[in-house]
Amino acid sequence: MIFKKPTLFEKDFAAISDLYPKLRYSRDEKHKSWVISGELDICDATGLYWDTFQVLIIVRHPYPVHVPNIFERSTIIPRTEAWHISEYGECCLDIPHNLKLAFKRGMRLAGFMHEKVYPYFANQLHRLSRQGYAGEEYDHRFEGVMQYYKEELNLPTPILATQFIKSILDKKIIDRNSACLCGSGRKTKKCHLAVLHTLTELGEKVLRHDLVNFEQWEVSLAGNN
Amino acid sequence: MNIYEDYLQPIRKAIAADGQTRTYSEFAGGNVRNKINLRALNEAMPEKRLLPSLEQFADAVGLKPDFTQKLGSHPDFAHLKHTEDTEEHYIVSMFVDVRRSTQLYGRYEPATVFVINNAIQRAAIHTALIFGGYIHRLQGDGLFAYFGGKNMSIKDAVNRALQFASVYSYFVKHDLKEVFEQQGIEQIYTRIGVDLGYDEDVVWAMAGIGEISEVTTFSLHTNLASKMQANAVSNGIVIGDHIKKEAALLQEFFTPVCLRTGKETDRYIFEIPKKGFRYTQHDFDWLKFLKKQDYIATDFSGNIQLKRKQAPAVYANSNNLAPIAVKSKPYYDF
Ligand SMILES: [Zn+2]
Repeated sequence: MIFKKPTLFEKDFAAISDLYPKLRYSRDEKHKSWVISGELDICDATGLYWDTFQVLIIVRHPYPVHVPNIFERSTIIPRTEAWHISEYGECCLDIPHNLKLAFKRGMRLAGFMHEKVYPYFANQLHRLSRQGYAGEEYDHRFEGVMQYYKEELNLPTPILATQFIKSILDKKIIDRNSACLCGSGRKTKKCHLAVLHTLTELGEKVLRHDLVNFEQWEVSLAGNN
Repeated sequence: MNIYEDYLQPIRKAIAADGQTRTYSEFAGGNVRNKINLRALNEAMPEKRLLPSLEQFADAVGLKPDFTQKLGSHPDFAHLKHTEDTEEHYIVSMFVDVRRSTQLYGRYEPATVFVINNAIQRAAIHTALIFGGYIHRLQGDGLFAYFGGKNMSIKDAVNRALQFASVYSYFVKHDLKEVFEQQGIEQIYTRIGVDLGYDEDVVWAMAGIGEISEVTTFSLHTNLASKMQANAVSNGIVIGDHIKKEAALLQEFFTPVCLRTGKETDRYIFEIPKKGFRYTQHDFDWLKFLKKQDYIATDFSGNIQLKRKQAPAVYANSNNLAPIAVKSKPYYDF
């Protein structure tokens, strides 16, 4: 018998098997990923059982870098945009920025399942019982990204967001004690310092993508006027 | 999972009434009081009907208990009684031992102990009946049961025996323990031994004389089940190698006992070195097994819950989903 040392993913999977005993995993060599599949039972906060979703989770190598993709294979959730699911059952758990940051900041399989996946499905059941979603939603597509910049980064306008993104991309050195870019008159360290760190953490690729969208948005607004 | 709630109620009530009725019982006399309690017990826990909480469980499992069976006689072999005939037929034998401190006797009136005993036994009997087991003998809080018979495959018998043993271990380890812990009584636990004898290993025949007789099994594997029970840890289940062999899909739940004890001599429960016969005993991870069952869900905190058959709207309130659901803020961009 040959014993292979378990990989980090395999160790993390074993660690969640107490909480998600009906999920199993396999390796997909062709697509360089781990595939988790099986049943996800949802119970409420008092422990009462509600429903069972068939799920498929793709975890691309190397782990834990990429945000996993999750699909509902059962069809309990209506397949419309309003339910935050694609026609193929891919679930949109959160704004990608949040997910990316979470993984950068050390989120692993256990946290992903417990903080993102389970609440998403519990929330769908909450809505299916005619109560609507329990919490908030992001707007769809780029409006959701703008909402993220506004609510989570305190950059309420595309102009401000663009200004901050550019300052990061241009690698401007920002003095903590100088006046904040936002024009509030306060020192950066007492204003948007944490936001600048977050934007840096999001990485160039995400920022460039968002920048293009913000600029197009302004152009389209200008066109409409 | 509150499937035993209705069996715990009488225990709680009896304990609560215990101190207060002492004066009353002195006046009324022990006998009167015992009768009152027995009647109340039978009303609270009928012998031949599942209480609602366990009924829900049977419903979720999809099985119905057979209340026609009599203690001590496996119906498939009852015809051997008062005959000299014997039969060879496979059987799964199980010994369930419920250990609790003798504290209980010093602490409560005999009538209270009687109620506690009966509630624990009825929970066991009813659960065994759901899984098609046959209670051969009651021993204190524990029991000796058979699983299988002429109309059941070996694989089904093994599977059902393991289901029963797991659910009952859960009952004692969680529900019962909690009731006693509230009383400051800490030690209560099960130890279970299970083994399978094939047709050629088991002889069914009469034992005893006349009225003091029963139809029972003569089998190494019935004896081994009893021996393995003694080798189980608190709340543990030890099974014989035949069980493992018949449970092809459950291999991940078995580990040889010697891996737990660290002593190679514990690997086999029985050996005939001359014949090269060695019989391995295994620990059975019943909680892991239970979590994989179709009728069990694991909740957000990792506790096991019953997957009831009704729509959740019947028994649950979606407000209770909210504390978990509120953490979700979904997006859409496909
Ligand atoms: Zn600022």
